[in-house]
Amino acid sequence: MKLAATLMIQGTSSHVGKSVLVTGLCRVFARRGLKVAPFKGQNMAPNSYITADGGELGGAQAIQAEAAMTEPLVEMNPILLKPVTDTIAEVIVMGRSQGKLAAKEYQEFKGEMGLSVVKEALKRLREQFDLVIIEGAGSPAEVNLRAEDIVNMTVAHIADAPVLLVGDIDPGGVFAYIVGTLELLTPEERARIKGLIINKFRGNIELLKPGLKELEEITGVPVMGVVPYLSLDIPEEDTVPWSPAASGDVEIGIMYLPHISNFTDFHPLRRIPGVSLRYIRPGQPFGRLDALMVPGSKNIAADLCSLQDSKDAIKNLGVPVVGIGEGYAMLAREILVGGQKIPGLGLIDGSVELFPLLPRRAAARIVADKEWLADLAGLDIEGYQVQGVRGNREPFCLIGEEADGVAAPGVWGTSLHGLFDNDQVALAFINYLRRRKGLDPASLTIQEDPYEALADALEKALDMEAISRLVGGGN
Amino acid sequence: MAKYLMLQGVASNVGKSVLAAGLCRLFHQEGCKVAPFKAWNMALNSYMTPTGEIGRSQGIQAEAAGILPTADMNPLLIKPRGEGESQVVVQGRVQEDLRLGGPLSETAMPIVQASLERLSKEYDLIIMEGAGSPVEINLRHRDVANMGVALLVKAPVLLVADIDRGGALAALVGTMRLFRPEEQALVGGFILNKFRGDAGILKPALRILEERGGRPVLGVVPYRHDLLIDDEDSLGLERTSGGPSSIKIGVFCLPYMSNYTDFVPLSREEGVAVHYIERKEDLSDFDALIIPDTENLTESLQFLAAQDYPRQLASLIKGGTPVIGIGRGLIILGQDYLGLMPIKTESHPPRQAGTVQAQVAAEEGWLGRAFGRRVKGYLGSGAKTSGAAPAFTINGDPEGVQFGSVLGTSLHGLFEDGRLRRAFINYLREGKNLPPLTGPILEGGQLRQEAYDLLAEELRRSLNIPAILDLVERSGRG
Repeated sequence: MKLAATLMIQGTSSHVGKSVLVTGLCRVFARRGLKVAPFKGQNMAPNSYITADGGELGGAQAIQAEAAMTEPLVEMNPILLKPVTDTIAEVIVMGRSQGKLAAKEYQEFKGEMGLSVVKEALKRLREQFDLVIIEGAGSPAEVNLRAEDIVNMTVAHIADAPVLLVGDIDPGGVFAYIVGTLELLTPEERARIKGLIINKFRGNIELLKPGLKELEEITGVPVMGVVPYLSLDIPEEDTVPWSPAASGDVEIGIMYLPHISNFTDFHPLRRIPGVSLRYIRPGQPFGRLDALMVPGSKNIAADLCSLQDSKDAIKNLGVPVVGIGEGYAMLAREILVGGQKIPGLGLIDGSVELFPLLPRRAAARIVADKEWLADLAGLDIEGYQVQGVRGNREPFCLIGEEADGVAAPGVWGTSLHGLFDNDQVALAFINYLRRRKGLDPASLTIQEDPYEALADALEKALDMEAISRLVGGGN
Repeated sequence: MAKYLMLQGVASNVGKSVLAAGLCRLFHQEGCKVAPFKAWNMALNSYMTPTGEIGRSQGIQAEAAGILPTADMNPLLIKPRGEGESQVVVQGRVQEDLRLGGPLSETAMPIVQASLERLSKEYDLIIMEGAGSPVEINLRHRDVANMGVALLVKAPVLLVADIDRGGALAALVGTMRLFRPEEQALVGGFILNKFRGDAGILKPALRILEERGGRPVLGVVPYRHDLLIDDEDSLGLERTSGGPSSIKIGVFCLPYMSNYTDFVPLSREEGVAVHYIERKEDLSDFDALIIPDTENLTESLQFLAAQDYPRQLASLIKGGTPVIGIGRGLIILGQDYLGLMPIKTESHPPRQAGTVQAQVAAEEGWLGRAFGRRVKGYLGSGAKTSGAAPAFTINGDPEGVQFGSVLGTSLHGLFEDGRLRRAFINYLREGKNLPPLTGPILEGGQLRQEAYDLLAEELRRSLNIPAILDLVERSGRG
């Protein structure tokens, strides 16, 4: 069987923008008629996506699949680590949770079977697709960690992939990072690096050009693109996009919990004109807000603890509050979790119980009918659950037969993630906030497909001819 | 002849400023006369010195070094104003007309050199800090901040990388590779900053780094949440919103101004900008005004009168803008001079040396919000007052006056008290319909002093101090 061609993107350090480049390249090649799949062997990220058959993979790979115009598969991210504390993570292998492992336990697991999991997943993808675009993690030149690598050069070798090395010019030192990375690689590894990409460039390209020429001379590797600092509406892999007090008609604050997870729940609200989202760290002033969102959490006890000093401020905000997933549970007076009782924020009476369930996509029907939900009662919506929450008398919706969530005056919650992906729900909520302020209702903007814009920008910034040659089986 | 030691980073935000502050404190503890220096600083946050404005981090470093900062410690301060525009502060003074484009060294280098020379005459050791990466090969000809200044005095350089971001080894090796020979010769060692995890795992990497980078690793500094050593611009002690300031407090830049630390703590509050008022400014831009203490009453009065500030002040006070006079600033406000308060003042030497405890007696204005609070401070040369309600009592005796929106006092260090400071700022915010600040209140000086000590202690543990001392001894010799 003919296996798919491969292309790998590695970075000189974390946060150089690899995942967005992979997303864009997925679309570039997909719209040229190739069947493209993204791949990242191991991903550490708080956001996940649930596939149709209940498998869980990194949110970034799901987004990349969407850009590639294909269904997300657990093979695209066979190992997902969702951080719980500094040293513990929930480990998801081929879509299924293996429980919470300490760093050391995970190292053992990884040593035993990490590589074979990655190999097998990659093989399956290569059998089904024309091109697999692989994303590395961190830096490939951590020479002390070479032996345990299952994400960078080890994968490049297995996949026989040409590698593009990406440096981020924004914080400075990009030339040194690139030159030093190449110096620390072994000759075989170095031979895999076929091109360099300078990412997040702003300023005058003419000032940069002499530097690029010198870089090519020193490294002997061609620069295959300078990508400008793009501000597209595409979520970053694992960082919370930090929006400095932008101002809109409607300002929505999202509690930036220390163990925040699935925070992308609220991002669809940005599609409505006049909405600005702002992350608020515990202890930070809230500023002017029209609504407060409490997102999911990987560690509800620790996160509630960090909100201790903000409790009164949250109660006295006087604006609508919406909690999703664990964020919904936090709204209660008391939360039962694993036989323990934790005091919550107390915005709704009574206690709720967290219980584990298999992550699943879920269809729900809205049953609450007060305030902004008046016109939505009876509406069928979709989303997914990663954690069960039960215990309220005034439910928000029905998931199957089961009542879920809460609808109290000014406070709403549900365990259904992806709530605001439902356009009608997002629009009704924002227009409720607008009415409260005496503003005219807004409408959804039919946005251009953001992946098209990204792909266009990359086609302009990258030497696509050279990159296509690499993919065309040049090796 | 002063000695030098310079910290350069492989990129921005590797934590140089904090390390420099820690080294300042460490050498200060050793009895050395040490001063910080950063030729070129691009920062939103500034710090007020008696000779003008510098980058916040140099102000903090000077505090750590136990000295008064001066404008020479950061002769070029670039304050971005957004979208390509910035304000240039040269040796403490705003230069509206200075263009720093083109061949930088022509305009900037002589300024940097002059400041560094002055510092070198006064101090035994200058801890210098670079900016960004020293090997932006496309901008080499414009480098003032890094090797440009290191080569001036042949300062030994420690190259710092942030290991938290990944790629630190590569960045150090690559930076070394891109230096010119004479630049490379100045580098004495590497420091890996913000390390978390198991030092055992790192060991083999350090060996390879020394081999490939050609310099010893002179320290691995842990990531310490308790020291909050994660924030280049603010040192973690002073969180700032980084955004535009919502509260502007103006301080008259009086000739021979003294006790400028009185109002420095104000900028510790989020969203507060403390601005030096020089000539021909529109006072209505400010949410509150401070007339500081001065060593020269006559010249100060002349300065104010020449700018027509007394007339502006009078109308602002009528409108309710809070005005604070401290020390001789209080005398200036009184009937004998500007007549902005209906009080008689009578100069007299300090009544009591050392720290005193005062209790807020004012019942109105912003100070009234802290009625009854006991605050610590010290009394400078001040004034006996009569004719208005006392602002404070000290051992039952009245101190200072509170009249409408005007406060006058001889008590220095008032705003070191976190709650009093917060009450003042929240009063100003309320006046602008801004929500009150609710974040943690940082208690002033003592907390910072303790943090500097902790930082120095950490550096003693994690750096190879004897090797660094050897490097320092080599300064000037390249």
